[in-house]
Amino acid sequence: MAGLKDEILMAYADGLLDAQARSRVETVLQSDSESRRRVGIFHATGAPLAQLYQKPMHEPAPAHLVKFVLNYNADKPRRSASAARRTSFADILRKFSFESPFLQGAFATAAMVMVAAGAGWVLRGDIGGTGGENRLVAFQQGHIFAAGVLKNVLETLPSGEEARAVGPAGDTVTMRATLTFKNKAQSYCREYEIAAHGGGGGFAGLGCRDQSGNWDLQVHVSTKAVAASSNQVAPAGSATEAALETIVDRTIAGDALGKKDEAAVMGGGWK
Amino acid sequence: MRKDPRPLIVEFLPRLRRFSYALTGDQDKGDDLVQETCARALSRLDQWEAGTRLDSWMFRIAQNIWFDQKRSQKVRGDVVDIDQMYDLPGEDGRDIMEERLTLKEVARGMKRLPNDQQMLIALVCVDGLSYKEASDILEVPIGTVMSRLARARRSLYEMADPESEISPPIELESRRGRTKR
Repeated sequence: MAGLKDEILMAYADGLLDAQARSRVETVLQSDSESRRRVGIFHATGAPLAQLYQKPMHEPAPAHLVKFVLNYNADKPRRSASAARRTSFADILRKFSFESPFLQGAFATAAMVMVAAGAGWVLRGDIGGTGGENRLVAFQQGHIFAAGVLKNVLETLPSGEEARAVGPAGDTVTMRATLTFKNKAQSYCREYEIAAHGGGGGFAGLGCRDQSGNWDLQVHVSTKAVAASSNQVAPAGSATEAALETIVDRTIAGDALGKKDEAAVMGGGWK
Repeated sequence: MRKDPRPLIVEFLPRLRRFSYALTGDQDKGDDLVQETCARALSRLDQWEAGTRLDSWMFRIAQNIWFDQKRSQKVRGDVVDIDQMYDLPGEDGRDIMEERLTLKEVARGMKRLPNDQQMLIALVCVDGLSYKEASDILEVPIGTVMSRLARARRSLYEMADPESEISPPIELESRRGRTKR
């Protein structure tokens, strides 16, 4: 006999038939070996097949993919995933060589604040006006801490959500945290972006929360093109983004926090 | 103002990675496909209708990118040697041979299936979507989904290595559950 149609046997194997239909199929299966053989095929290509591909469901998504999504800027060209994985620290050091006209330009314009203890860079600068409540960073006891709106963003805003503030010149500044993770010293750290609309450029950085609840900035760097000399403009965005990415890769313990974990940690006062 | 969809995309990454792994048969290639898919989705967010399913929209994007890549590989003659893949142990430590299916056999079979059947295997068998959800994503009637999927599963089975032929026992009293998302 021809037996039951494949579609019915497949739905049976997938557990999608109601009790009455299931019972009718099972009656046929009792006496039809060919239908039994075909149900076997659909069983084998169901859960056992899915099992072969479950690995991505039981591991955190790679940090480079999470960062790619959270940091995505439609206006900027992106590196491929494989290129992102290949970024080496040596490459970054070469980009930031002190002989580089780009870095000398950065010193000259004082548009960059960058503290990377591992690489020994300390460049000074500022953003968002001259001081007071407009400051986004504050120097204290040899550290640079997030201040004002930036501190609030790091303390309370879920990754990917945007905060808006009005800068001292009346321009709009938007800020967002882009990644949250625990570093090797077991402190929570967050990567962030600041964009000043109206030609003010932007900043990106990494802050780690200390025991006093201050966000100690490990990196705070301009993402705006920096004039290296009167006739040169170095694209700071790509180089600083790569440097930041490398520092995160060297600092991170495990993988970045997912949305739910981040909300739980934030709700628990970062304990 | 539209809510930033990026956290939703991050939440969706594990499923998108699993789906891409099934389509490409390789985790690194799968992750490259994931990144391309995310980039295209993020650059075309205006085409996504808020309130509709982000996963369906992104599966469609991944499908288009992957099949475009396959077409260009055919032109360039860049063919992956599937026979160099290993029979990998299952994540719980059991040998997958115990299930009578190996990644190598399935990946080999997947590469030989027509595009629409590959998609159905990845959407229904691997991601665990219902026939109806698959029909919505592929924009074909549910009856077509069922007949193509049944054909795809039989073909995949028949293309498996004859030496490791699948012959699981029929258990009338218990049915396997669907894949959890």
